[in-house]
Amino acid sequence: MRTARILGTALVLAAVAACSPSQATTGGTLSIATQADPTCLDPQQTGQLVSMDVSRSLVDTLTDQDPKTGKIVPWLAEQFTALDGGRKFKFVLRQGVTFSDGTPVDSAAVKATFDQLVKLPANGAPAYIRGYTGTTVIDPRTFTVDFTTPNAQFLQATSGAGLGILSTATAKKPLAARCRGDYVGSGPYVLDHYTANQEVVIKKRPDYAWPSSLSANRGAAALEQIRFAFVPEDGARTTALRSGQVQLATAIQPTDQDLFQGNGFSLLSASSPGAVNPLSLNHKGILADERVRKALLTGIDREELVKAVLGSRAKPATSVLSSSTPFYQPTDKLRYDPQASGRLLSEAGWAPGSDGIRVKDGQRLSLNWLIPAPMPPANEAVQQQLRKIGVELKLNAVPPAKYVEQQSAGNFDLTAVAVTRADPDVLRNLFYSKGQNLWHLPPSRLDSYLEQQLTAGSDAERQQAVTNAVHWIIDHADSIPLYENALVDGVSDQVKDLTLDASLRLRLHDARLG
Amino acid sequence: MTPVPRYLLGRFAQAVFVVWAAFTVTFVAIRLLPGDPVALMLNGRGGGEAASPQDIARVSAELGFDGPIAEQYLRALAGALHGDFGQSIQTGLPVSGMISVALPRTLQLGAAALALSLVAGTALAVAANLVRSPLGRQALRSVPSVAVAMPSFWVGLMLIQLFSLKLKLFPSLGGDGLAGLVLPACTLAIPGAALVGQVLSKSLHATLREPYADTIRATGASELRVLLGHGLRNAAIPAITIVGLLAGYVIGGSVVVESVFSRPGMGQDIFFAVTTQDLPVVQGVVVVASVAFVAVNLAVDLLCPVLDPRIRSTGRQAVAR
Repeated sequence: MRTARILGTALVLAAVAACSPSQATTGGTLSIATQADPTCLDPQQTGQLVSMDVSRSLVDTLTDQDPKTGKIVPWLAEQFTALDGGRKFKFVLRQGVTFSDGTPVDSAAVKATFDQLVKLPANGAPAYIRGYTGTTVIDPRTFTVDFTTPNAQFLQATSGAGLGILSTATAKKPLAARCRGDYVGSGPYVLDHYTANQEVVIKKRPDYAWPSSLSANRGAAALEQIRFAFVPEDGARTTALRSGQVQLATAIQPTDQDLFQGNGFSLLSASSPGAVNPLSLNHKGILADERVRKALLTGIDREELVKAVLGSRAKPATSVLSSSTPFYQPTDKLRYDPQASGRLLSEAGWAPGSDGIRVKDGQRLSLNWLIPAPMPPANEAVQQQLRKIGVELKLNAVPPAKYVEQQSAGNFDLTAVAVTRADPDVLRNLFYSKGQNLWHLPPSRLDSYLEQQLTAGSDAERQQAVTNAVHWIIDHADSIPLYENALVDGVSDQVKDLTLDASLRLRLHDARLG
Repeated sequence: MTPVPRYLLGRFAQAVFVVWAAFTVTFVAIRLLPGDPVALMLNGRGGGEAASPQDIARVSAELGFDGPIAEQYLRALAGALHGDFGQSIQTGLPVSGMISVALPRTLQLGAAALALSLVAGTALAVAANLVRSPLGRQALRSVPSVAVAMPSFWVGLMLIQLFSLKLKLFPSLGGDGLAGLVLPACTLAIPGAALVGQVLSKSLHATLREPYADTIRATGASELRVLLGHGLRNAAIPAITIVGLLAGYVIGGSVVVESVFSRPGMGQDIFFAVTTQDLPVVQGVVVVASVAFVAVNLAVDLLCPVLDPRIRSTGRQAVAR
């Protein structure tokens, strides 16, 4: 049996070798089980990861980001430079690129794309071009994008699907229609159909010839079409992959990951860039006291947490940023030290109570952790760990609708908000006291660090500002970093050349079935 | 007016009332839930940031969620009467379009499950009344209680384990074609079959002990002939009334079964719509489901007089013996 299989493999290899190496297998349908219906396919209107997995293949972007180095490299723009201390960005587009409706990808289309983006609700991609004053068309291939203040994260943002370039006609379409996929990009695939609660099917664009400078495939996509079936049940995705109904299943749970190491499968996995999974602390109420926050920081055994519940793909946090984020530098400040926690809590006036939970003036040290249901298993492990230092966590899992409402109203002590993006500007989304400030941070020097990393003129200057911000956040225990999450997809061995981009979206242009 | 049309008219008015009540109760219940569906949609799309109150107000107005609640209710009711439930908050698709895609799939599943329930339930009841050994009889009579006690999500997972992973006979995602229908329909049919089996078995047991059955036996007819040729038709009325209830069960059960098998349909639609408070979709699905429910019950009510002349003559259901 085993010999037969090896022989079979050898024959297949021989057959493949006989073909010209660049023209490997083409055609076929790749079936993917994804964990949710994206509900909106327009990259300008949604930052949801499941949606970006689809839209990433429909639109091209001005730049691409190398997942290994974090470097910004050419795609639709063959040249790009920051001018005027980062207030102005000049781009030169490559020649001969067309949208799928046949119109050219030119400076006017870029202008229409950004002019429309800035008008949208500013809670997804539009947030990346805050301070946008306009796009100046110099000639059909050359243009500048201008901002009121320096914008160091803009170039990275131009590599994400959110700032993907859309046709001039798209800007005039109703937003609801665009959500259903009625928009025109220049990507390697075009939308075939989107049926709510069922599937999205995209098919290849045969005349595609302008891939990212990182792409191995220089021409049209190898796959004929790709079907994303929405399978919200974790177990159902696992089964669909094992029984061969799909060739890729997203978000494989830690308990199922071993099933796909070998046996004709592998795991496509990467550490999520951006802000790590934390305990996010409401700076009002009990946690206004920095000593209590610091006690939580040293009261977490991150190694144990990862080993016990999160599986081998996750990593203990070593900073507020994950190790795959550009400008990340490790810190040695996230140590487990329950004695220190005990001292800090005693100093703050919280004395051990009869049942082990600390008390102060008759009040128990009990914190309300607001959680959008379903509750991840790691939460209970955190609860157990903090119980050991005398802190009680009340796990308050509520329907997502209620979660959003309660979080906006500030009715919580703890939440857990991570942001995936390969740029340190995620810190500004979370910790800027002049921004949305869901956790009620008081104004501090942190605000100026976060502004400096945005307006920095050089990488060295930006690195300094990011490092200052990270250390400030940890030194004041403004957030309790827990672990670096990992995206884990299960993939059949039939799928070849499938990789992830820097934002961990599927790079389906190179993928093929073998 | 002859009694039959009056009976019909009364049943029809009842049916209309049930559909209207379902619409209204849903409207009120969803409005009473905490949280704003539009804020939920916008926040869900943000990359870690929440939407501003201005954006929420603007989108709410675009979707017709502004103005006094009574006005919104009348607007929704007027739309529903014309078959227009508005558009989904989450996807922006017209609800009627979503339903026209989902309904045939759920009808397929429901009809298959209902048919399987009836066949399996009848077979069980007949077997339980034919078997002579007291032990076998007792065993067959206990099957329904065991079957009803098995939760359908568990049954579904077990069937997937056996038929999709071990034997590789049927797909585990129930989306495609006839093969994809088999496991979900079986899962959904089991409790229904148990119910039919139990009721029919009891009713057959009683019927076969009536004097007319002895008369037929005295003519030399076999027990099987007594049972199939005469007993079954007389015992069928309670079981057929159960079918009306089963329709309700199948509609509710489709939520679980469609989730377990990731089979697109009305159950999946409403599960997702309820968790995101997508009011227009919930409203649309509930109205269509209640129409299906009353239609099946109306059909059952009309079928009973055909089977039993005693109901036909009085216009009322015969008193159960």
